[in-house]
Amino acid sequence: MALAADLMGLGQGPAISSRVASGGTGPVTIVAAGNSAATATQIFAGQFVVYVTLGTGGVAAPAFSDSGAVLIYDNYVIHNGTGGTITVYPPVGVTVNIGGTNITRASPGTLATLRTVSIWTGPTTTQWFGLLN
Amino acid sequence: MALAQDLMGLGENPLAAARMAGGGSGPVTLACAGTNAATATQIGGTQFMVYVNSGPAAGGVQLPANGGIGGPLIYDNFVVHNGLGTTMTVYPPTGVTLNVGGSNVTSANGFSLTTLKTLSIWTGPTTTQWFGLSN
Repeated sequence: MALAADLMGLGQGPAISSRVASGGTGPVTIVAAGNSAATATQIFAGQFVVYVTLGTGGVAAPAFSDSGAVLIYDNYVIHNGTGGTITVYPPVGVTVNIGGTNITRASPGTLATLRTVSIWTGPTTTQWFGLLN
Repeated sequence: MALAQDLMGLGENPLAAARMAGGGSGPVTLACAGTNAATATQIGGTQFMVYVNSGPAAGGVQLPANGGIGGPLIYDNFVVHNGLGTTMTVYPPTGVTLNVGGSNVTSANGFSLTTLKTLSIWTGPTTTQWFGLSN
């Protein structure tokens, strides 16, 4: 389902395009940074698929309160294309169940080189789940 | 989000429907074939959801390349399921490196998809670098 810009080119409105496109609005790549949730690179609410190309540190998933609005069961996919492990931080107050473990902002998840995590932002604003390979 | 024809039935135009439907334009099943990327069954450009339900042992399917009329765009999502009783191979297009589970997959080696397993692939961030997730 490509990017929002592609769907707009097929006649869809901007709002529905940014919500329906699997890749969201982009940008399609991101650079990891920081050593905490506060200093990690923030993923935008409409940035549904991101490939981490550079950097060390982490990325932070957007919150329901962020501009652009995360909705229940949006799907965020993060791939680590760097040579080192990165950290993935959920928003404040959110628990993400992945592979039998609870991930929180205080106890974030790690994503090894060339691995992917897919996160669904539901069923509530504080309980999400994911899939990791 | 079903198939393109379902979205068209809801009033969506054909091009947008084929692009937006989770299952794409179909067909919904596919037979694997061959022993390498050149002889494997080609997946259509908007055939986003594929259940492989027939074909020879050790056969394969190949993902379509970005571009062209009806071809994949950046961050299309293809899902391939192996419904066979034997392992099959999923080949990226020539020139594409596909990162899956910590490994680089190319058209020369392909990804080995065992029985009843699924591979989900995102066709970006570039036309030559993709990634995937498999169980």
